[in-house]
Amino acid sequence: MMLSAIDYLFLYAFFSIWLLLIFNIILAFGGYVFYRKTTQRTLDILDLDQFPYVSVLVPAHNEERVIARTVHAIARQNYPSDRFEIVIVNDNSSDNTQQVLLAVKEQLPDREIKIITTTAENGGRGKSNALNIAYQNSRGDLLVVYDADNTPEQFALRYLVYEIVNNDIYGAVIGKFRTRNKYKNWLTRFINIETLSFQWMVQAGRFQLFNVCTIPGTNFIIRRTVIDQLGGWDVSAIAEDTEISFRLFALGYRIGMMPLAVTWEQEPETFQVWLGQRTRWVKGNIYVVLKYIPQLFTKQIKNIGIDVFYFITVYFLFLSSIILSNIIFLICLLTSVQLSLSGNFHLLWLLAYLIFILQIMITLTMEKGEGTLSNFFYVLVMYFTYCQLWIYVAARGLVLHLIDELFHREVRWYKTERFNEGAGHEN
Amino acid sequence: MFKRKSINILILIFSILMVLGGKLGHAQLPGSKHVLLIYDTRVELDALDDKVFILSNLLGHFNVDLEIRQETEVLGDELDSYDYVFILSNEGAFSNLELLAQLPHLKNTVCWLGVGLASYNQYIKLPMSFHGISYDYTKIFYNNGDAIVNQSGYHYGEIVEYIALPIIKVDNEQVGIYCTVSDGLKTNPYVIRYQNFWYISNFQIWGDLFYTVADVLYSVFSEMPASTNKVFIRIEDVHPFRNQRKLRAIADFLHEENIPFMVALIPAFTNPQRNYTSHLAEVPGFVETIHYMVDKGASIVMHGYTHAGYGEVSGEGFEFWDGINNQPIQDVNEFEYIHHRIYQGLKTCVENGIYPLAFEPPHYAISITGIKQVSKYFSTFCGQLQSSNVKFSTVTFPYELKHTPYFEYVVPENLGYIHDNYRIAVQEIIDRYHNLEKVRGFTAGMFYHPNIKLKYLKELVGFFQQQEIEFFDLSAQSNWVKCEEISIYSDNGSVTAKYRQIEQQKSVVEVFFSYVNVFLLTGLTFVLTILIILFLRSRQLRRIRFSKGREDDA
Repeated sequence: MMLSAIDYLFLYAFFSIWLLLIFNIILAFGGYVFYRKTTQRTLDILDLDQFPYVSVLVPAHNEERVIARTVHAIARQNYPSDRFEIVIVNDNSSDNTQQVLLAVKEQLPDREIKIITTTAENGGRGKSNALNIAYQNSRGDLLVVYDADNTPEQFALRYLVYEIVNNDIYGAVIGKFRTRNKYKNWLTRFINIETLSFQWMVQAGRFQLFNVCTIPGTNFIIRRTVIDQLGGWDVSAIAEDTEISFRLFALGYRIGMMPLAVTWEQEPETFQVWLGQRTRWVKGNIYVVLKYIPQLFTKQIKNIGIDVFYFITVYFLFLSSIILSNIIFLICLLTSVQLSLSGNFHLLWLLAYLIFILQIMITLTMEKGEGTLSNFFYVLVMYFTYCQLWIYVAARGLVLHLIDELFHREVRWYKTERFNEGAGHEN
Repeated sequence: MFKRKSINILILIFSILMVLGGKLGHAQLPGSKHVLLIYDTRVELDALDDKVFILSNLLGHFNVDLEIRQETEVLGDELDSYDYVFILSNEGAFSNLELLAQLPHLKNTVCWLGVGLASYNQYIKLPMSFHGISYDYTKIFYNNGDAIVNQSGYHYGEIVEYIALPIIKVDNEQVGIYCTVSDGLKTNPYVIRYQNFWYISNFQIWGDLFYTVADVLYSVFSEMPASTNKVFIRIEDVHPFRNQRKLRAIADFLHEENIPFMVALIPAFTNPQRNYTSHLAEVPGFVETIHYMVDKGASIVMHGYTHAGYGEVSGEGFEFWDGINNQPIQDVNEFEYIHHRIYQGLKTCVENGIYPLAFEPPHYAISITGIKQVSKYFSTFCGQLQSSNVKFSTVTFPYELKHTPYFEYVVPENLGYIHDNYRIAVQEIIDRYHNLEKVRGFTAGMFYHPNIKLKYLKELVGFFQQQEIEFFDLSAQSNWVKCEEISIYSDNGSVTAKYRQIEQQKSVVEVFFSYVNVFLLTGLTFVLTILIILFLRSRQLRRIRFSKGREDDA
């Protein structure tokens, strides 16, 4: 029997989808192993004998709604108050961020708080630029970055410092973030589940298996010397975190992971905001992939290899295959064209779905208060709803990136909009 | 000079022989009778069965070379060139009166079957008169194909339906009466012969009247019935998910009894819920089981490809007929559909060393057009024939057919099968068998589903062994199967098959893909098991780790 074109397209889709699914299963196992190791580790963070000076950098652009709580949370860190400073870049805000910051500073007279206010001339050019300004105005040997909506737990800083000080190979150490407004609505519930499983599967899994994880943009510690060597953040990258991770690998450093350093952050509560944020991430990732593909063949950077491979698989193979398989499904449904390949596709799908649920449920049981029955039902539904939105976001990001490239549009920083939080939603 | 002349003569002789040979090739087989079948309409008013199709098959039991024409297409002076002229009158609607007027002058045998002769006897001039019709006849009297003289006719069978038969008065001196019907008081001729003219006043397609006609045809054609009667047993709906131990047990039993049998094989099983078709090689041991049955005396009959095709389960669904709406298969090119399925079915068998010798459509359902097509692939058909192109309706025959316009060989199933009401079913088969015995040279056939208890089959085998009958062996007959590169022949019990293995087998990609499929399925099941264990373990650990703090569940 001769195979027709549709069979070959199907084969392509089938293999690239399963390639990624299997890779993710392997990552999930890695994440579980890492979790077990972490729980068995003894950490004597309370017996730190040295307290290196730390600068906590907080870029803030129109953050009047959340910035006060962020600064308070950072100020409350269990770390000698004379051994860290808080550097806040009020980046070209048009709201009352400045006033809020001044008020907070007044409330915390015993903390070193630096407020740098930029205007349209020297600021407002994105997070990388703001971080560069903060870095230039800081004096710590170690830099910690928090987004303006974060509320780190009290020992977060200690954990990060402990991990980086005890491991010279680490150029940076990342913590873990959790969702503060997860009970707000369905969207934040899904995001909560997604971010937790992402961190345990992709971040922890990669770290365990390939010694690679990427900086998530907040709640990480990085050596000043590294930033010096890098010459600051890349202002043209809209996903500055992935970009800086890659450059760090290129210098021969590694990135550590310390899941006990927890910060709580606010996730988008409306679809529009979520879409904007995610599209920015996708565009950022594609930017990085395209930038580093040539280096894959010239330089010996194995750590980047696995990540570039992962991104290529996700954004090119997987995305095209998912769209293709949907088209093939419709063609077979609506026309007389039929696949001649046969297999237990329904059973395979069911197994994939069950594995999806279990993987996520395992990552959720690792977190206090997440391995619940209600979350189980959200996971069941998530596959058919939230996960499918990814197709749209990824395709949108890809297309918008191409348009940007085509018309040489300037990269803009789409700031994620913040939300007021009612007391009842706090954790 | 001389040499050239002789060569020329040789060439001349040779070419004459060639021409003659060519002509002979197209002429009838030696001894076969050249028969013209003329009809008015194919179906009766308000009926669906194509009676022309049925009669043309029935005549195939005899050594005939048949031509079929509608009455308006026949010229009166053509009739002389045939040995036999059959006229099938379904409605008595003839417009070619010239043709009818020609009939009394013919020297060859004429046989009129059906209604309407009353209106045309003025042309045909048989010495008899018509006096209306009666529906009251219930009994048939017959004399084994000889004329009934001095009440030599014996009670042959029953008429269980209301059938309109003409009330006829004949001149007994001139006319031979071969069969009569009776309402208990009066006797009336049903089959008569006047010189070379046979008249059968009604052509029924089932029941004892049909058997009468089937039997009297021996007299019409002056042929002798076969000296031995036969019966076949067909193990039905054998598909890859049948209990293999049971199949082997059946084969063992029949082999011990020295009984050849048939296996109606469904090479692939489709489960619509799973939308997956399992081919026979995919089920461990199944191919070996079929080979085992063949070794024990089975001949394979291909029973469709999947015995489904319209969203039904294999073994239950229709395949070549839309059984849900009772209509021919729709939305597909019937020719290509049938070709594809026959080819796939044969390929699946042949690739595994299984060689079907005959075809049996699922539920016997396939349009007449489809039957014609299938007869290009299979010499031999086993079962009942569907007799309509529009509705599902089948006809069976009391004996085997070898000269039909379609299949070269039809082995009829006419006894039925053991259905759920086992006791009744066994008795029904025995009753049908006894009824069939009326027809000389009969071939009987029954089928048996392998999920039914073996003891009922044993009972019936015991019954057959007490009869004077031979068990039919399909592989001992000449059969052929041809479809694309596949060809199978059988003769005298030996089966040979040719199958050019071009790349149409499975491509490397397909084979590889099927491995990937199995690998994925097993791998994922394994992963799933591990994940479940991990999940339960991590829940346990969580309880220990977080037990101090209250769970902040929403």
